[in-house]
Amino acid sequence: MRIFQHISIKHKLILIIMLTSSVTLLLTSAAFVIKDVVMFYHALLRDLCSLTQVIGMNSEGALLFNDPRTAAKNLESLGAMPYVFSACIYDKKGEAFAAYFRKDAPKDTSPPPIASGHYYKKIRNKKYLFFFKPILLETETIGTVFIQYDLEERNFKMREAGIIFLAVMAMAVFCVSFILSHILQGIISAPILHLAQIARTVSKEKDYSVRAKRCCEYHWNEIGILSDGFNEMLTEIQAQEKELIRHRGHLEEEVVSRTAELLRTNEELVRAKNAAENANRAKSEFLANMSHEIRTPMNAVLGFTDLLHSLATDPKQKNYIESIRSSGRSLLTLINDILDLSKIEAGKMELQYEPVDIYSLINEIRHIFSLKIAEKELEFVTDIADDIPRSLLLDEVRLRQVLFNLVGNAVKFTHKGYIRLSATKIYTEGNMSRVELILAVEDTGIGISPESGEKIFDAFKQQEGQDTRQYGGTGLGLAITKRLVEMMGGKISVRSEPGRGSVFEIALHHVPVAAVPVKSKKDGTAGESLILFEKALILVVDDIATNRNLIREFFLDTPISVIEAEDGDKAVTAAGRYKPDVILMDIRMPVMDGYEAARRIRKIEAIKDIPVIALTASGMKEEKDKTLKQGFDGFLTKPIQRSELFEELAKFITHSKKEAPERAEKIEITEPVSPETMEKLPELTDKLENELMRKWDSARKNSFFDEISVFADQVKGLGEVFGMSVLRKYGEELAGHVSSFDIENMNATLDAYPKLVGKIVSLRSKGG
Amino acid sequence: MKYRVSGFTFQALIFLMYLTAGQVHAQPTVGEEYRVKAGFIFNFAKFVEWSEEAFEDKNSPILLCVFPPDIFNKILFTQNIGTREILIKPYQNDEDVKCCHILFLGVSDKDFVQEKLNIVKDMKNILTVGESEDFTQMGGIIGFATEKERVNLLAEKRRLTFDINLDASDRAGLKLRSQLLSTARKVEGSQ
Repeated sequence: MRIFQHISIKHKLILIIMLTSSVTLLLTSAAFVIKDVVMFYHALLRDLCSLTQVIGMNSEGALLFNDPRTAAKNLESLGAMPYVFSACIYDKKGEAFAAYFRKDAPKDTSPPPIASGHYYKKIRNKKYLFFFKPILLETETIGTVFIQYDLEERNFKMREAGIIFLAVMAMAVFCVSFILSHILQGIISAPILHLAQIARTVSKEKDYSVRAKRCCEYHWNEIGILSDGFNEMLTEIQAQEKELIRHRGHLEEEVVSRTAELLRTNEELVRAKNAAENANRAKSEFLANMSHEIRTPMNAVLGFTDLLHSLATDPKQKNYIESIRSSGRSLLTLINDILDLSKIEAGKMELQYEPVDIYSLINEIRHIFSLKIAEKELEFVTDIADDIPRSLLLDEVRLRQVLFNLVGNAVKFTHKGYIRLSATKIYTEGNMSRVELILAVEDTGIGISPESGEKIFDAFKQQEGQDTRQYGGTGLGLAITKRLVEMMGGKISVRSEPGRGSVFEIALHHVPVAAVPVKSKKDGTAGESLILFEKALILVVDDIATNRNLIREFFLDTPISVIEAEDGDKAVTAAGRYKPDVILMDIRMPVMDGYEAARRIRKIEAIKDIPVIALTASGMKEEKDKTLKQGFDGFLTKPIQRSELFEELAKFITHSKKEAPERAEKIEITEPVSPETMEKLPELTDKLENELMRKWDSARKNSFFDEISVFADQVKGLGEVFGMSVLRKYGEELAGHVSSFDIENMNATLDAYPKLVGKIVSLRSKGG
Repeated sequence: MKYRVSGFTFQALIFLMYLTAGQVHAQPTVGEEYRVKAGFIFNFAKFVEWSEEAFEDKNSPILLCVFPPDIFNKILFTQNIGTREILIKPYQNDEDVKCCHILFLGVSDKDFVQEKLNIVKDMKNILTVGESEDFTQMGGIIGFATEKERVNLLAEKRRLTFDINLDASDRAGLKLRSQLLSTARKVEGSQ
């Protein structure tokens, strides 16, 4: 069967046809042969019957008239039949009357075993038919005719003939059916082969446009259906192929266009991102510059306005000057607030967590506002839960700023009643290492209308109807407060009733409990005084002379010598010539900026190892990172604090340390006072004792950071104008404390003011 | 009247008697020769067809006239031929011949036989059987003859046979069947 599967359809068809026809013919032949055999026997019996009848009838007379010769003559006619082996006529007694024998037959006559009928018997392997027929005369049996018929001979002959016939027949059938099937199989196999050929062509050449030919005579039958189906399939495939190609082309186009679009969008995004970053940087830089560029002239404006105020005698002019002064202060405060807010919003403000004692912080606040509250005849209640850990990890400066703003607001808007500052804590989920700290500031002030609600936390939104003249403020305080609280991971909310008061509540979440106790505030303060430099040379590079002078003044009472350069180019030259121990380099300068100068210095072998410390006005962290990356060894933010400068320099210049002196010693006038200064001393002391003393008094009482900051700037401004470095240093120190919300040191410094004035006054008396 | 019954004939008759035993119940005393001849005549009747007018109806008997009248004494045909009996009628006078179907002349006298044959010559439906010499030449239809047959060197067998004259039978309006003719020793006449 496997072989059959492997042969071609053509041969299969031929085989099938031949097999079918052969089997059919064989079966038919067999049927015919069987029928013939049966018929033959029937015919034989019939023939024998009639033969014996005739013989019997003819022998009737012979029997009756006892004439064996006639009977024998009758029997002899059987000689014409070659298969009659022997024949005999018996008389009525069963005795042989006459007999006939074929030539090869033995001549014996035995009486008939039966009277009539026939049977087949084999004698010596030969088959014979024994046939008996009674001879009847009327109804009387007068004898019997017997014939022994030789079937063997007959059958042999017949078989021989049959075999020849079958052989010829088979040959004929084979030949004819082979030829016929060979011709006819084409009807079926040709279209199939054609289809196969087409299919091969299609699969080999991928040409879907070819079609199977349809012979018209097949159009209705299975082959036709197959051809049609095949063609339909090809049409379908071709259509789909076209579609696919079209789609592919389309897809490619699509992909190309999409990719291009994507690239375009990406580029735009990158451009937009760069633009946004640039804009943001520009904004940050702009604001950083603002801080420096606006605050410096504002100091001058305010300082000279104060001077003008003391000189003016005309009440009208005095009134005008007063307006300028208050407006200037408002402007400075506004600038400071905007700077804070923009720093927060630009994400430039970074919190510095350190252990904080919330008790002492609240006491500080209480202390700051005690004078003001006493003046307004209010009651200030602090309520701190006993179970708050003494040491919590918080940003003390910013938390102080927040509380300062809230309490300051409360004081400002409360005219009678009390202000209550409370602190409670909740442990969260039994976790002892973290607490929920809740700080609340409650007052009995004017309150906030429900419409204002949360809007008061938005920048520049003050409560409607708030009398700006009466209360002042920039409208940024609460906005900054809210941002700071959120930065600390907390939430600020307000409950208020107009005319009855407000409650501001700050909830700080997950405040970690510090493992170490709060450091003493005294540590590290006035650090510059602890450092005793040995002899060294410093190059100060700044395009602004006053800045260079300021630094020179810092080193007046040290063995450090200062040389100056006003731009990067000159700095490089000076560095090469004098080989200083340290270079202090401003970044933004004309001709050559600090970066370029530093780069050049690094390229010159002789001076490449000199440490260069950058001085920048921006105070932004990114600026610091940039400078450190650009090859600077250190970084200082303007306005430069003496302590910071000394600490930074201590890293590069050999020095020793001494015990911290008394705070009072700090304001010892160690420098020699110039003659010009001595001349102006009366004017200076007058200012210090009268006008500034009033301000000092006011600042102490109100404890408004803005006010103290303005006071510090004024003192500093006077120091610069009159060439009194001790005043300038005092102002700078005070301003530094304010900007870092270091209330303790700020108050201490503030308290030292009368002492300082006393010293200067004594100087005058000495000089005088 | 002469009876010529030789020893040979006797033997043959005994042999033949077996053949006709069923038809003829002959007494042992009756001459065997005529017993055999009676059997032959009975068998002849089987192969001869008479015309319709010879009988009144289909059951009418076949009349066998014999001369001399006593020759078939004590012979009785117990069997019928078809539906007909055979009745033996002794030949008393010539008138008797008219109604006979078979006339047996058991005499050897040729003149006497010729005389009797002349009587029935123009008569229809009479089968004439005789035993005289040249019976058929004289116008008889069936004439008995005896043949000698050598059985072996010593023995010789006599066998009864007969001749047929077809012209005579035609004249008598009788039809003789072929079986009868094929068994006959000699068939005379045309056809």
